[in-house]
Amino acid sequence: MPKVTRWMIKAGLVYLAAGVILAGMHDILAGLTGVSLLAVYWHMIVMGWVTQVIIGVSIWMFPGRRRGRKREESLLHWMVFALLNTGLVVRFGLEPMLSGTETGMWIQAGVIMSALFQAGAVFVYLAEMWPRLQPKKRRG
Amino acid sequence: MPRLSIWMIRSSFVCLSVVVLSGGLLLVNKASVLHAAIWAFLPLHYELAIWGWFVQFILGTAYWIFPRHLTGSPRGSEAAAWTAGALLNIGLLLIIMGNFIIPESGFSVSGRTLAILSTLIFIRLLAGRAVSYRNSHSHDMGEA
Repeated sequence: MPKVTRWMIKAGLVYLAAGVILAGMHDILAGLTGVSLLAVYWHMIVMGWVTQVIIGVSIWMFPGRRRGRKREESLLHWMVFALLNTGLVVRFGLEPMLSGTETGMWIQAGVIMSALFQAGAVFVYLAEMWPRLQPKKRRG
Repeated sequence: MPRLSIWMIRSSFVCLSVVVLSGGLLLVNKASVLHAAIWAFLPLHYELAIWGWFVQFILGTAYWIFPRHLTGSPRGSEAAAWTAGALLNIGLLLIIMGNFIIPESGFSVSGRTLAILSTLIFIRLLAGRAVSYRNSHSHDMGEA
């Protein structure tokens, strides 16, 4: 199993734990702070856990990894990991602050940046994975 | 990898692209309101995430990777599998139309019905392949 896959699975487990804890404590936290964390815990589970584990495992298990391009592929995989997790951490930190009446410019900018990072991670992953999906006969 | 899995995984990738684009737009709109109508993308965002991305990717991968039958068609009826793949994607289009383009038209219910039907066909195909050949192998070895 490649190192990047192990990191993605471990990061996914952290998001899963955080997501279910937040989901379980949501009513108490929402009562105390007046902020809904629904979008945060859903995305922890759906993007941080499920999607990240799917990406990590498919990088490892899907066919078509070529020996000559190992280094180049590895760079792309780490880029996916870095973009996705930076995007998610920034999002989970800043998104609850959007509920306030006056949202600072830097919070807005951070959330927009997190959206771009998450989308960037997915498109780098798709660009790397798409050509690997081929019937056995066609692969060289 | 069988062609059906390739098609289903590619289709799931297209759905994932739409999911992140619509999700990104929703998040940006949440941070800095662009237009109130952008919230109409929300059903498209989560329906495609569930049916188009997760369900389709997992079924497509399972169809490829599960142990194959030792006799007969290795992955079960190919016609049934292709029908299920087609039903899922037609169902997705109907769900999108029903939720987003022509609301309250019955398209959404029809789409969901096709998606459920497709999933049931895949369950039927995959359940028979959730096996281990280890025992039959060791039995053969023992007899040899």
